[in-house]
Amino acid sequence: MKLLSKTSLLIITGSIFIFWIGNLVFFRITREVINEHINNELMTQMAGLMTRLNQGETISNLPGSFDQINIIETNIHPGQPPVLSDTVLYNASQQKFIAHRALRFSYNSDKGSRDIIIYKSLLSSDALIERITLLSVALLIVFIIMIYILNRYIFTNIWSAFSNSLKRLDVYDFNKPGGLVLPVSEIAEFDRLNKVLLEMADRIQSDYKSLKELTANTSHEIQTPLAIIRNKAELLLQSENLSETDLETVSSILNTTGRLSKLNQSLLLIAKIENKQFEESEEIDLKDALETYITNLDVLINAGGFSINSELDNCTIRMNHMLLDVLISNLLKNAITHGTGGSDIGVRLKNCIVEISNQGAPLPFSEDQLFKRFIKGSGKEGGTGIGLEIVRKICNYYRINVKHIYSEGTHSFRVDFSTIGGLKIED
Amino acid sequence: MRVLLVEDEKDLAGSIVSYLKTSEKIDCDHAINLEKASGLCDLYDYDCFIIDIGLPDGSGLDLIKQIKNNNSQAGIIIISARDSIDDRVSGLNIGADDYLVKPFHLSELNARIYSLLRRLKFEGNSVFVFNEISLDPQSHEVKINNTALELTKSEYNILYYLVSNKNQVISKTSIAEHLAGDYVDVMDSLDFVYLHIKNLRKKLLKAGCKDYIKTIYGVGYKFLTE
Repeated sequence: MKLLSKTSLLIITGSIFIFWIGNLVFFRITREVINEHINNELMTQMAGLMTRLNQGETISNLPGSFDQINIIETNIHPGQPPVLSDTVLYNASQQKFIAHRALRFSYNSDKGSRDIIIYKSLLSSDALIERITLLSVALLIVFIIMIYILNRYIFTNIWSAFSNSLKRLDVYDFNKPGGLVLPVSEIAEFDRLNKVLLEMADRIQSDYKSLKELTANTSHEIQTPLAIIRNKAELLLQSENLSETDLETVSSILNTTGRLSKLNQSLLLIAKIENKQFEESEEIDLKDALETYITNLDVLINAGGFSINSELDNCTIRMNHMLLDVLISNLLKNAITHGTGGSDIGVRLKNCIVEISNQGAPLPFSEDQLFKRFIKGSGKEGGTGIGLEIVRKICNYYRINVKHIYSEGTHSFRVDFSTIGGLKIED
Repeated sequence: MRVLLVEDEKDLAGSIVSYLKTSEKIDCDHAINLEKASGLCDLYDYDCFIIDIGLPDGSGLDLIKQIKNNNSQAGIIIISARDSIDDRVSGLNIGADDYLVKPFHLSELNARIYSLLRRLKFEGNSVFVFNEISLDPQSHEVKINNTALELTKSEYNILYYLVSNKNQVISKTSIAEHLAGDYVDVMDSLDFVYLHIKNLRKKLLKAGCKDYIKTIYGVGYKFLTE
């Protein structure tokens, strides 16, 4: 729920509640005041009646400003003090019951004691109360609308600095050049918030930069010594007076250095993916790309006696070219390394789902270990054991789904690119 | 033929210089930083530059700009540990001819220099002849004693690679990487190098070529001319 809606809702419910109570109290008080007024009037009437009766006037044609009079001949409680009560009388002309205030009092004369009840209609006072209530409800509605509008106005005014900062934070990317700029506001708290945010962003940016530099430098620093070892070994190979065993030793140094350097590159690649250093992306025709990768690996495919069985539909995706290169080559290399020699390697692209499959024995380890680092199958030498981990990292980076399926002697890796691509409609 | 190597790692530079000297009889000067390199550029006319990008006193890219500003026709090969597309693209954009990522095989660097120099010297249309073998880098045609020899792409590449690294021991990995690029990291698949060489040798011998390719057991091959 938005802050504005939340505050509006709270203010409106709050004011409805307060007005409800207020109205109730107000209604009660008005009622009391009116009742008291009517009571007083009835009492005055009673006193007037008593005087007249005492002067000998007959009871049947007594005038007065009451609405009805009842005379009860039998006196139940002689000498009882006057009693005020609320009652309802049927009005013949209006054909409905109408609330009345009644005063019952006893009158003693020589003819005996009798009770007299005089009534006063509450019709006009009820109408008054009704009007007052309606008015206050109308006022309440107007008031709530005003509060709502006012709240909106104040909110957008005061919180504009905050929403501006929020908008800038939303689009801020510490991976891109240019620091975070937040607007200055008149409100101290927001200024403090902005200050804290700016400090935080600066820290993140500088940390990120140094991390990036560290990875680049580590790469440089490790690759150079490796290059030296490798090249020295290569020079040593040229030496005239080496025995066959010496040559083999040097060759082994050469190959191991090569592996080490590949491992280093792979680990760095993973670090770079985790640091999100592959921001730039471009539109890539996946079909073209797959064809290119298959051609690139021609030599290795022929060497293993594999035949490529490809079925490629059109699909255009948006991602970093180098990462796609690494992703597909790793899957293809995986198929070449672990596929049974001379069998088919399937490459299928349908609905932007790439499936690369090879024939081979079931996994010697459990399925969930497959994408983990340094898990090697089939005992083949030379792999870094990191290829599928890189595949998973790249897929995680783009939030694309990668699945391994094994059935009837065929391993398939299925990568679903549909979240970052689709069929390009040619016009 | 004179080459200038600009590289701050002395050990690495030493290996490169001695490999180039023994293989191609190339005169290779070595500069350890940009300043020395500029000085040497003023003194000599180089046919080719091998430049490292990360140097202690600046970027090798600046040196490339300087060379290009002097209207030099020399070939430029970048060697860098930075395997980033940005570096590669910016290097090639300002006029470098080739880009090699460290660590590389000396034989690969040698082959690249070799073809770059041939390309510059003969402006591309050079059929290059070695005894009875003639290779055309443009059409990939091979002739033995003027008779065309049908070779596969891989066989042609291996032959070219061996000829450009005459009399040097070339490891199997180096040949494999030359053929399949970075994709080689499966040592098992190195058997394919053996198969290709076997076929190549058979074809060459059948065409009446001398047996120049010598197997160095457990290591690789050597194209022997002496």
